Amino acid sequence: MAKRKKRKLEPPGEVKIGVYVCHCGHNIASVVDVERVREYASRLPGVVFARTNMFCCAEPGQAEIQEDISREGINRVLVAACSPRLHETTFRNAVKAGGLNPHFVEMANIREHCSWVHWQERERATEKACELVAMGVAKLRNAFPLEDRRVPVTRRAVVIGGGVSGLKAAFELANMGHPVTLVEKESQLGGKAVELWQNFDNGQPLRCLVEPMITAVSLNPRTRILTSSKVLNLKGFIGNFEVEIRNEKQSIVEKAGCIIVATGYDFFPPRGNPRYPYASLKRVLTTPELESLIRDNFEQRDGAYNESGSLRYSDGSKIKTVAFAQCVGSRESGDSCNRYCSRVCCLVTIKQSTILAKHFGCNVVVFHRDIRVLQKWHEDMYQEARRAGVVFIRAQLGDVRQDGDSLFIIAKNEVENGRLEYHVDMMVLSVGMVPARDSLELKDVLKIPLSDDGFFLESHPKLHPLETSMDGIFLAGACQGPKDFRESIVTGSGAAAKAQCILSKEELLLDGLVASIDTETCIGCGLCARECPYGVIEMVKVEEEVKGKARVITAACKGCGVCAGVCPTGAADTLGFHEESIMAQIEVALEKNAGEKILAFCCNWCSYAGADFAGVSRLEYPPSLRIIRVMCSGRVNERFILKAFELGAGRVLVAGCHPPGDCHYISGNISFKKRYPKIKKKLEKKGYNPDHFTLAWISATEGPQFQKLIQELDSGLRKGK
Amino acid sequence: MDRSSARIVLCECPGHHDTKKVHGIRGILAGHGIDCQCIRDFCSLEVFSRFVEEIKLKKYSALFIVGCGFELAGDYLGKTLKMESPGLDVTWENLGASSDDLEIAAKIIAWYNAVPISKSEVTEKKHFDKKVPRVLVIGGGVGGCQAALDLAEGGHEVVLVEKTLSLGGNMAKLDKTFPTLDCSICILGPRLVEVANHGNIELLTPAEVKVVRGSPGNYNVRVVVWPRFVDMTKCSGCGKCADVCPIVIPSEWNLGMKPVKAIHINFEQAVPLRSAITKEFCVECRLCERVCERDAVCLDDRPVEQELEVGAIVMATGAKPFSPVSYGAYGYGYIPAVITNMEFERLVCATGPTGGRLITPEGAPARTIAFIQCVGSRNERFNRYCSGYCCTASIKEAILALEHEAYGHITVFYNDIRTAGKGFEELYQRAIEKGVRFIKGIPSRIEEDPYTKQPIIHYYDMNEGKRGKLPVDLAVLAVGLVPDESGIDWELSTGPEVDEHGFYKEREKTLHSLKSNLEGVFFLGTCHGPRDITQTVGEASGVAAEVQSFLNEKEF
Repeated sequence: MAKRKKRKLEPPGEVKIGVYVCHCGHNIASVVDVERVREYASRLPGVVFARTNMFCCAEPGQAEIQEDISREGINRVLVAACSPRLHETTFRNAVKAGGLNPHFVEMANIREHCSWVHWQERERATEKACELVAMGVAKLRNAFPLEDRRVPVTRRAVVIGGGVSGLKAAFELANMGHPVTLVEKESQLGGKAVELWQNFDNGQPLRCLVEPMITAVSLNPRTRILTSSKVLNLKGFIGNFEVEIRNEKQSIVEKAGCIIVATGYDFFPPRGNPRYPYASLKRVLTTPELESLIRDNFEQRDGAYNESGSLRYSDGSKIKTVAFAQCVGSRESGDSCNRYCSRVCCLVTIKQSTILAKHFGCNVVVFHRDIRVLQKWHEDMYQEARRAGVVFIRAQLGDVRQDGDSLFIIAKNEVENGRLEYHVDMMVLSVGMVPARDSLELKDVLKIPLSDDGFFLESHPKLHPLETSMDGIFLAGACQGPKDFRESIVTGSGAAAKAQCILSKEELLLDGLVASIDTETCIGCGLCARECPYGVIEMVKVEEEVKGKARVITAACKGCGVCAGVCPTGAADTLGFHEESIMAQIEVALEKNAGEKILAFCCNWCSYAGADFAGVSRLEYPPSLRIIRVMCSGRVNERFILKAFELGAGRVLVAGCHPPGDCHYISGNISFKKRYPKIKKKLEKKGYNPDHFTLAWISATEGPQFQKLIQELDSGLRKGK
Repeated sequence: MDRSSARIVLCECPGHHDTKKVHGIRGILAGHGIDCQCIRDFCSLEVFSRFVEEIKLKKYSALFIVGCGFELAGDYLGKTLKMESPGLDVTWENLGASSDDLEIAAKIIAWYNAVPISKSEVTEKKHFDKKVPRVLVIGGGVGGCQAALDLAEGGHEVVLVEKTLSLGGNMAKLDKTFPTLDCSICILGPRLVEVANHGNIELLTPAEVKVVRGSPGNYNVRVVVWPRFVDMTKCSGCGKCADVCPIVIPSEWNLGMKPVKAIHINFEQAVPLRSAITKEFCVECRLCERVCERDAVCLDDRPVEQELEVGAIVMATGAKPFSPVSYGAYGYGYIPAVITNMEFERLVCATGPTGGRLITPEGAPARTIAFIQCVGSRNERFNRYCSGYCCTASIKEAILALEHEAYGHITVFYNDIRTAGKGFEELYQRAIEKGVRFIKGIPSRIEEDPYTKQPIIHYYDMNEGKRGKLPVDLAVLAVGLVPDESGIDWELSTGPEVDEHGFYKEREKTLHSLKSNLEGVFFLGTCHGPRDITQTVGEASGVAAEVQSFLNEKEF
C-alpha cells in the first residue's frame, strides 16, 4: 500500500504578524531588554512590525492593536507579555473586536516564565525572551482560523427517575417554561417516598410531601410522563440528545437538550448475606419494614398521635423491647458489604426509635459505631431520642439467636470492653443504601462512569457535584451517593438549574479547540477511540476499508488532544494545538545551543499554571528552559520527543497533572503515563539516552517543586557534559 | 363576597390529620351556617384532578383549604390551581397536630363573612405584577459564585456583592479539599475568574448591602461600596506599591500569621487582582502614589452608595469559625502551640506564612500533632448542633500532616467520627491505615509544659477506660461554624427569620430548605446551618433553579 500523504492544513492568505512587546511597567522591562526583543522580533519572518508598549493589556494598548489591524493590515498578533492564562481572553476579545479571528492571537510569556524567574541573569533572560517571541511567531505562522462551534439546542429535558429528586427537577424545569419528559420504570411516580412512611426532618408523612409533587407535575401541560418505561438507547451530544424510551406498549424517541439522571437507590438486602446470618430469623426486620409496621399501627389508630398503645407485630403479638443494629451493609470491608457510610440510617433509627419509645412505650436499645447526624436540627433529634429513653450503646454485635418468640443478643461494648446480653421481642437492622439495580445498565446506555462505590460519578466532588463527565447529563438525588429527602430535593432543583443553563439558550457556543481526524491517513487502528477520555471518537465503516475510520463527534469533543497524542500516523490532530505548529515551536526553540536546553511540554491546567506560580512567587531557576504549552500532557505525541532529540535537545520534560484525579480531562495524564516507558525504549533504540527524557507531575500550586525539578534537570545537564 | 362562589375544603387524610379534629371543625362551621366539604386524600392526582374540573365548571372565585398548609402541599397545588383557574383566590391553613380546631374554624368564619370581592381582585392584580428579572447574590464565597454563575448562564442579570477585597470566601483559604485532597485555590481560582469575566454578572467588592425595601419581585436594595483607595480600572496588580510601602501589618487573610504591607493585594490568586490600602494603618507617605506607573492610587477615595432594583435576593453570607478564645480549658490564645484548624490550613499551604513548612511557633518541626474535635460544637455551653464538616476536615489535615512529616505521630480525639459523605469513610479508613490514632474521648483540658512549652493534653480514653496525658508539638482545635452577622436593615414588615442558633431559618425543612419566610429571598450554604463545600455548591445550583422558577411565575 502506497503511503498516503496527510492533507496539510494550509494557513490562509499572506501572513502579516504584528508583535507587541510589553514592558508591564518594570515587571518585564527591569530584567529583559525590551528594545532588543522588539528589534529581534521585527526581523523574524512574517513579522510586519514590532512595537513596545508600557501596558498592552490596558485600554490604550488594546486600542493600538485594533487600530493596527485596520490601518496596517496585520492579520496575526503576538503579544509578548504575561501568561496566556491571565490575559489570553483579554487579547482574543480585543482582536475579535478589531475584526480578526480570535485564534490569531498568541502570547509569549516573558513575565512569569522569564523576567520574574531570571531576574539575576538579565542577558540570558533577554535571549530567552527573544526565543520565546520567535516560538510564538512560529506558532502564529502555522495558525489557522478556528470557528466557535455553534450547536442548536433542543429545548426539552428528559428526566430519568420519578422519585422526589426527579419530580422536583421536572417541576422546576416546567415552571421555568421548558417541556420535560419524565421517565419512570415503575407503574407509579414517587419512588421511595411512596414506600416509606414518615420523613425524619419535619416529621411529616412522606405521602404529603410527594403527592402534591406528583399531582403538580402530572397536571402541568409541559410535562410528559412515561411510567413503566425504560431508557434503552442514547444518541447525540449536549443540546441534541436522542433518547430512546420503551414501555410495554411502544417505543418512543424523545429529542432533548439535556438529561437529568435521578434513578435513586435501593436498600441494602441483608437476607442471604453471609455476614448477617440472623437477618432471616423471625422478628428481625429491616428499617423500611419497620416503617410499614409503624404505619399500619398508626392507621389502625386513625391517625391520632397522642393516644398510646402498644406496638403490634404483623401476627398481632405485642412488642415491648426492640434492638436496633446500625451500619448493616455499610462501613464494612469485604465483598458482601459496602465500605461507604450511607449517611441517613442513623437518622432513620433515631426517628423510629423515638416513635417506638414515645408512642408505643417500647424499651429501645441501639447498637451503633458512631452516631452520624449532620444538620443543625439533627443533634436535637438525637438528644430527644435519648430523653425519650432510647439507650445508645457503642457496641459490636456478636451473636443473635432465636429464643422462642423473642431474640437473644450478645454484643461487645466498645466502651470499656464489656459483654452485653439482651432479650428483645424484635430486632431492626438499619440497612444502608446501594446503587439502584439498573444503574449498571443505564451507565452503559448513557456512557457516564460509576465511582468505586457503584453510584454515578460526578464530574468533580466539590465544584461539579451535579455534572457528569458527559456534557449535558446531570445527576440529581441519591443516584450520585446516599442522600436524604431534603438533599435529594435540593439536588433536584440544582440539576434543573444546570439544565436551564443549556435550555435557556437558542444555541450553544463551544470553542473551536477540537480534534480532527484526517480520513486519508487514518489507518483505522482504533487507538484514539479507545483512549479518548470522553468516548467521543467512533469508528465508522468505510466501504473499501477493512478496519474503518475514526470520526470525532465534534460537538462533544473537549479538545484535550489525547487522540492526537496516541495516533501513530498523525491523522488525528487538535485544532489550535496542531502538529505543524508544535513542530515549528520545537524547531525554533532548539535552533541555537540545543544541547544546553531543556524542552518542556506543560499541560495548560496544572503544570503550566505551576510554572506561572513559580513566576508569581519569583522562584528562580536556570534560563535553559523552553516551555511549549499543550492543553493536556496526553496530547504529547512521541514524534515531538523524537524530533526534539533529533535536533539535539539536552533534556526533554513532559509535565502534567497529578494522577489519577487531577487531570482536567479525566485521564489524559494516565494516557501519557502509559506511553512513557514505550517512548523511553524507543529512544534507547534510536541511540538517545532515555534518562534525558523525564515525566513529572506538577500541580498548579507546586511552584517550588517546579523550580526544584528544573534546577535538578539543569544541573544534570551540566554534569552530563 | 358572593358566597355561592366561595368554597371551603377540609382535607381528611388518615395517618396525617386527626380525623376527629377535621370533623370537629366541620361541626362548628355547620353551626354557623357555613357549608364545607371534607375530601379524602385531597392532594392525590385522582382526587385533585376531579376537584380542579369541578372548580372550573362551577366557576368558584375563592377557596379556603385546610390541610397540610402552604409549606407542604400549597406551593405545588397552588401553582396548579392558579394555572387551571387564574382568577382564583386561594387561602391555605395548616392543620397540624398542635393546631386548635376552634381557632381554625374562627379564621374560616372571618374569611367567609368579611372578605369583599374587591379584595380578591386586588390580590390577583398584585400577583401579576411584573418582577424585576435581576437577582442580588450577597456573598462571594464558593456558593455565592456558583449561584451567580448558574443564574447568569440561565440568562438572568446578577449583582454579586462581596464584603471583603476578593471573591473566594473560606474555601480560598484552605490548602486542600477532602476527600480527594485537591488543591483548593487551584480548583476555585478559575471559577472566580469566570465570575468576574461573565457578561451577566456585576461584581461589587468590597461592598455591603445596607437596606432592603420593597416587595417580592421588586426589592429595592441599597449597597455601599467601600473604598479601596486604588482605582480598580487603572491598577494592573503588579504589586510595585507593596514593595515601597513602609508600613507592615498582619495579613488578615493569613489569619494574622503573615506580615503584609498596608497597601497590598489580598492574596496571589485574588479576584479581582488589584491592590487595596488598609486605611487604618496608612500614614499617607504617598510613596505608593509616586511609584505607581498608572496613577492608580487615590488616597481620597470615598464610600459610594448604590440603589439596586432586584427581583430576588440570594443570601450566601456564609458562617464564621467558632472562636475558641472563650473555650478556656484548651488555652487557645495563651498557649501559642494551640491553633485552630483554619490556622493549620494556612500553615501547611504553600502560600501560607511558613511557605508550607509545618512548624511549631518556636520554629521546630511539628512531629506530634493532636486534633481535638467538637470544639464549640455538640456542647450545651456553646453550640448544641454538630458542625458536620470538622471530622472529615481533621482527617484530611491529619493526612496532610503525615505528608509533611512522614514519621509524625498524629492523634485525633473524637466524640463520634461523622464521615458521612461520598468518599469520606474511605478517607477515614485511609487515615487509619496511614497510622493516624483515633481516641474516643474529648480532652478535658490543655496545659503548657513550663520547660518545653509543649501543650499537654489531658484526656480520658473511653475505649480503654483510662486517663492519659499527651504532650504534643501542635494541638489543633477543630472548631465548628457559627452564624455570621449580615448587617442588613430589612425595612419590611419582617426580615428573614433566624432559628434558635442564629442561622437563617428555612421555610420548611424538607421541601423548601432553600427558601426563607420572605417570598423571593433564598438561602444557600453555611448561612442557614453548617455544611461542606459539596453541599453548598449543590444548594447554589438548587437556589438558581428556585429563583428562576420564582421569577418566571408571572407566565401563569
